[in-house]
Amino acid sequence: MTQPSVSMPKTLPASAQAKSADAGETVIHIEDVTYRYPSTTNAPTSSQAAMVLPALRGVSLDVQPGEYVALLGHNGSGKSTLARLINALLLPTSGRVMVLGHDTSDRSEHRAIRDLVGMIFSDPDNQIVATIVEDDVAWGLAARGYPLAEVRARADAALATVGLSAHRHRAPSELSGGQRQRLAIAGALALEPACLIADEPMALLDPQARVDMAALLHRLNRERGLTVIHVTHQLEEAARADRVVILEQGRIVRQGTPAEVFAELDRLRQLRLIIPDLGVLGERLRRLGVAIPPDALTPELFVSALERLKRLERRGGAQ
Amino acid sequence: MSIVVEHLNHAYNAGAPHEHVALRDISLTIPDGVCAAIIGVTGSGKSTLVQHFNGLLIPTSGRIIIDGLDVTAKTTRPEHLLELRRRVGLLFQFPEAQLFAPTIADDVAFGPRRLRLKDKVVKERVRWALNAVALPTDATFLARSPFALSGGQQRRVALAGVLAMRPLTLVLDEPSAGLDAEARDEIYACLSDLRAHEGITLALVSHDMSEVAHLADMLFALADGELKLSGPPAQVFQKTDKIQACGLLPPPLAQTVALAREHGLPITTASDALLTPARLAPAIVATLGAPGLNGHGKEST
Amino acid sequence: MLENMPISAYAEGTSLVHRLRARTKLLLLGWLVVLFFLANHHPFHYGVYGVSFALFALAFLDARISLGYIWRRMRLLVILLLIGIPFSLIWTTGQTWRSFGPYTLSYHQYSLPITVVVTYDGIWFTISFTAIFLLLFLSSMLITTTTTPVGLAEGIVLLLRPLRWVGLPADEFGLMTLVSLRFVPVLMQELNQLIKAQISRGASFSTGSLTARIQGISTLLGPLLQGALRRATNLASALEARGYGVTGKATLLHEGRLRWLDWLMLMVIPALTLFAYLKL
Repeated sequence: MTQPSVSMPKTLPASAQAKSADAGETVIHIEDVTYRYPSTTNAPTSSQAAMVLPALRGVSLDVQPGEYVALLGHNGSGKSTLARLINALLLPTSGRVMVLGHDTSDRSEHRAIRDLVGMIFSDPDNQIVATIVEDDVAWGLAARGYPLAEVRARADAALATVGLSAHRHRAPSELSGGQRQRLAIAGALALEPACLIADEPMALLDPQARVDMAALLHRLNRERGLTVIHVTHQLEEAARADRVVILEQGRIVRQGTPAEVFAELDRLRQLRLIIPDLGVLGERLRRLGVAIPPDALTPELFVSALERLKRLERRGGAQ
Repeated sequence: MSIVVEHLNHAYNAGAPHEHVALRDISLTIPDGVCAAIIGVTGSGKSTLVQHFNGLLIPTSGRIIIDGLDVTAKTTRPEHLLELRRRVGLLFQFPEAQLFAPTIADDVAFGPRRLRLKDKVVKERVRWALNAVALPTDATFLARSPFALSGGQQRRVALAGVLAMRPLTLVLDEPSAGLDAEARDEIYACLSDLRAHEGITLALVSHDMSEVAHLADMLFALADGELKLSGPPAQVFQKTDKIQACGLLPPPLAQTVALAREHGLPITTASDALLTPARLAPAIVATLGAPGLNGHGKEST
Repeated sequence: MLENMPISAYAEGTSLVHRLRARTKLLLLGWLVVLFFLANHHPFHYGVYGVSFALFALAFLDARISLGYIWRRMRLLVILLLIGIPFSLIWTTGQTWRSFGPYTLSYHQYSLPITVVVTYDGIWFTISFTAIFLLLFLSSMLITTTTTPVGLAEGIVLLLRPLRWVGLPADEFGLMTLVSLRFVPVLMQELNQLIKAQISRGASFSTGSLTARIQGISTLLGPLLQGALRRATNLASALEARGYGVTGKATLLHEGRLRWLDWLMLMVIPALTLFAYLKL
C-alpha cells in the first residue's frame, strides 16, 4: 500500500490532458452562456423556478489552474446554476462551457469532464451511496473499472488527505455532518480531479465544522494546486479566495479580489448580501481612520490586520 | 408560562444493552416571557431536551414542570399532555418538510381544526398566524400550494401552522438551518415581533451562538448531554475557553477579542454588554493607541 | 420502536462465514429454501430441519453472534408465529391426532357446540411452516451480519447477470440494493421526526377516533413521498457528478472469484442436507 503523500504532484491523469493548444492556460472557460430552466421542477430553488427571466444571461468566466474562486450571490442569483453548468449537469441554452478543452455540450465528453471536475453539494447525506466509509470513497473508482489494488490505494490516500482514515470502517450515518462532508470530498478527490466545485458546502454544518472545512479546502488549493470553485452566499467564506465573482439575477456584476470587492459594502447590501459583523466593524474602523482591509472577515484575518497596524504604529511612534 | 427542569435524565432504550444516555442531570429554569437559547453541537442532547418541553418525551428520571404541570407526576393523564401540546408549540428542524395540505390555508388550519374550533374561529386564527409571520392573507395566497413558495416562506407557513394553535411558549429547533442570510433575518424578525407583541416565551435551539445572540435573554450550552454553561449571552460569550470545550464557537466578534488578547492586543470591553461593531470600534481604536493615529505615538512595552 | 432499529446490521469479523462470498451464501440459502419446501411433503421426517438448524448453530457460533442478539431480534417473529400456530394446528384437515371437547359456546339463547380437533397434518404443517420462517429469518440475519452491504449488492448483481439476456437490468439492481440499504435507516429517522412534528401540531396516531388517526396518517404520506423524491433527485445529481454510468465493467470491491472455501461449502452443505432429506 502506498503511503499517502501530503503534497501531490501537480500533474493531471492521462485522461485529463488538455485537447486544444492553449487550453492548458484555463481550466474552465465559460463563454457568453445563457441558461433557461426547461420546466419549473428542475431549478435548485423554487424562487428561481418562478422567475420568468433565464437563470443565467450572457455569463463569461475564465478560471485559471490553481485558482480559488468564490461565486457569491443571494439565493436565486444563478450561482448554483453556473456551478452545475461547469460539470455538465446542466447544458447551456446558448454559449459554451469548456473544461480543459472538452466541450460540455458533447455528451461523449461527459465522462472525461467528470473525471476532471468533482463536485460536492450542501447536504452531506444525499451524496453518500455506500454504507461503509471506505466503500463510498472507492465507489466512483470501482464504477470506472480501475483495478482493485489501485482503487483501494487511491481511496486510502483520499481518506488520509481529509483526515478520515481512522473512520474507514464505520457507517456514514455514524459520522457527524462535517465528517460526512469530508467523506464526500474524499470521494471526489479519489478521482484526482483538476478542479473541485463546492456548492454551498457549509450551509448545514456547525460553526466549528465550517472552520475545519474552510481550512481543508484552502489546504487542498494551496498544497495540491486544486482549482476550487466555492459557491456561497456568505461573505466570510469568500474572504480568503483568490477571486470573488458576484452574481445577481443571472449576470456577473462584480469581480475581483476579496479586498477589492468587499471595499464597497453598500453595493453589496444592494445586492441583498448580508455583511457579517466583522465586515461592519471593519467599515466603522475605516471611517475612524483605522486601515482595516475589507477582506478581514474572519477572526484570524482581522487580528492579523490589527497586529500589522500595531507594528506600523510602533515604527511610526519610534521616529 | 415557565419551564422548570430538575435533575432531568433521559436515556434512549433504557435498560437495554444499547442504552444511550442523551441527557444527564439537567437542571434549568426558563421564566415566563423570556427568550432562552439552547446551544450545542449535534449529539449534545439539545433536541432531546426540548422534546420534553411539550411532553413528546418523558424524563427517565428527574422532573420537568411546564406551566405548573409536572409531566412525571402520577396524576398526569394523557389529556393533560394533549393540552400541553397546545400550550407549547414545537417546531422541528426543516419544518417545511411537514407541509402536506393542498393549500396554505388548509395546512395552517390543521392544528385549529384538530382543536375542534368553529370554522369562523379557525379562519381568524389562520389569518392571524399568517400575519404574525409576515405572509399575505388575501384569498389568492391562501389558495396557493405551499410548495410554490421559497424555502424560507415555506418555513414561515410551517411556523404559522403551529402559531395558529395560539401557544404560550414556542420552541424552535434550529429555526434558520439551511436558510440564506436574508431568509434567516426574516424569520428572526418574526420571532422578535412575536416576543414583543404577544409575550410568547421562546426557546431556540441552535448550534450557532451568534444567531441567537441578539434575541436571547439567557443562554444554555449543552455538551455530551450535560449543561455546561448558562447565563446572559454577554457573560457566557466571555468564557471562550469553556465554549470551545463544548465544541462550539463564540460569535465572531467575541472570538476576535479573545484572539486579539492572546496576541498582545488587550481590547477592553464592558463585561455585561453584548459585543456589537458599534461598541467594539472605539475599544479597538483605544487599544491601537489612539494617540498613534494623529502622529504622537508612544513606544508601547 | 423506530429509534431502536440498528442502523447497520453488518459486524466486521474474520470467521469462516465472513470469508464466504456473498454469492455462496445466497446460493446456499436458495438451496435450503427449495429443500425445505420439498421436505414439507415428507411428513414427520425431521432430518433436514435438524441438520440445517445444527449447521446454523455452527455458523452463528463461528461468526460469534450471541444467542442474546438473535433472541432480541426474534421477538416480533415469535409473536407472529404464536398467533399463526393455533390456527394452523386446528384448521388443517386430515387424520385426527387428538380431539378436545365438545365445548359449547353460548350467547343468549344461541349455543354452538365446538370440538377442537388437532390433526397430524396440522401438526406437521405447523412444524414445517415454522421451520421455513425460522430459516428465512436466521439466514437473513446471518447473511446481513457477515456480509458487507456492498458485497451483498455485488453478489446479487453477479447472480442476476445471466438474466441480462432477457432484459433484466442486473447492474441497476446492484445500485438499487446499495442505495436502499444506505437510505432505509435515514428515511426511517425522517419518518420518526415527521411523526413527532405532526403530533406536536395536534395530529394523533395512536389515540383518538378512527377518522382522526386516518387524518393523522394522511399528514405523513405526502411529506414522506416528497422527502424521498427530493433525496432521490439530489442523489441522482451527485451520482451523475461522480460519473455514474453503467458500463458493466465495474470493479468489485468485496465480491470476488469463488475460493476453495466457497466450493467446499457449496459441495458439503447441499450434500449433507440432501442426505438428511433422503435418509432421515
